Amino acid sequence: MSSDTWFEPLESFTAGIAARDGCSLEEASVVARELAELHPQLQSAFRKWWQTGEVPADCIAHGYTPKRLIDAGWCTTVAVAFTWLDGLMKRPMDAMRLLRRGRDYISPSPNEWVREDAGGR
Amino acid sequence: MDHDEREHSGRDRSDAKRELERAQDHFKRDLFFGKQKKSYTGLPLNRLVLGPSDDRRALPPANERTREDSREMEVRQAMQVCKMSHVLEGWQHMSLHVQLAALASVEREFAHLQRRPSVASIGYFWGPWSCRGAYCAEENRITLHVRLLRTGSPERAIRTYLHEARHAYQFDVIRNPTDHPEVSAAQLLLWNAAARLYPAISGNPTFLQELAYDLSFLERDASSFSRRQFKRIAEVIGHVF
Repeated sequence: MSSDTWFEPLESFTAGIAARDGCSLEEASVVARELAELHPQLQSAFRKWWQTGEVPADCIAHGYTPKRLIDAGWCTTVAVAFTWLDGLMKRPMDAMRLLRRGRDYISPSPNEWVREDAGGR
Repeated sequence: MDHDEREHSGRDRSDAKRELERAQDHFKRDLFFGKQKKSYTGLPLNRLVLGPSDDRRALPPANERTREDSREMEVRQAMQVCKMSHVLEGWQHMSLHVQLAALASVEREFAHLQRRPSVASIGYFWGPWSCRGAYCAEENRITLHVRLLRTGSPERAIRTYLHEARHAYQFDVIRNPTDHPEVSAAQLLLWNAAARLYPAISGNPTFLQELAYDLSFLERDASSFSRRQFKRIAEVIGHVF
């Protein structure tokens, strides 16, 4: 089923993100769905980046720019950095908490901790 | 702050900077000679291997362990760290390896009180500041970002260590539930379910993916454990922090 976003139809938006970020369509679809609801104040900067490839330095939310987010390792691509800027605009408390606290890394993922016969003693 | 204090604080900062640069030089040299391993995050790490005596055999058999209220157990764990506060004194003047050794001492005692084998090694990694700590169950290892160790008080390092130690405990409870009579059947079911639902996170997570990870049950549990324990510890040995 085709659906339009503020920018492009979701299918072509997804394909465009997959091409730019070098990721699978499945991964791009997650990004595209978040960007489909991008905060209106970020839309013109996103459109400009999409058309020119120029990383917008003046696009700032709570002190964070796409470059700052990428440099700090929160994400690796500009498209995904826009989802973070969107989060900073719409849910500043949550976003700032995440950015302040940092993340950790667990290996293997807890999904693999559970044995098949688990659930009791 | 008077002139002497300012000068002293400036000297501390430049000493810390020099120490960090020296550590980086050592690190690069070790990397050059192939002594370093790559961590699971793809980042290089350095680590301190704990003694071999901390395996599960060192723990009392499960049937000899008394059932204990998990809150009481947590308080005992926090108090043990407090008793060991001397190992954290002078933190900012310690070299990286001495800091790791201090954390390893805490880990040995802490793991014993959590009824799990202590991790095999504690290390540090360099890399983007977004990732502060890591727990690798495969290699039974906790690693912390080097900045946590090299900047000022031990507070952030201890908090991150406590967070990762909780993951080590969660892993041990899920894998070896019979060794943990302090965990109720209901809690065990909950943790198993939470582990199955733990969100996969890529190296390039969107904001909502990161939020889902942060709100996942095991992460919330580890964060609240770290907060609770640190509060108890800071109340007793606030002077270290």
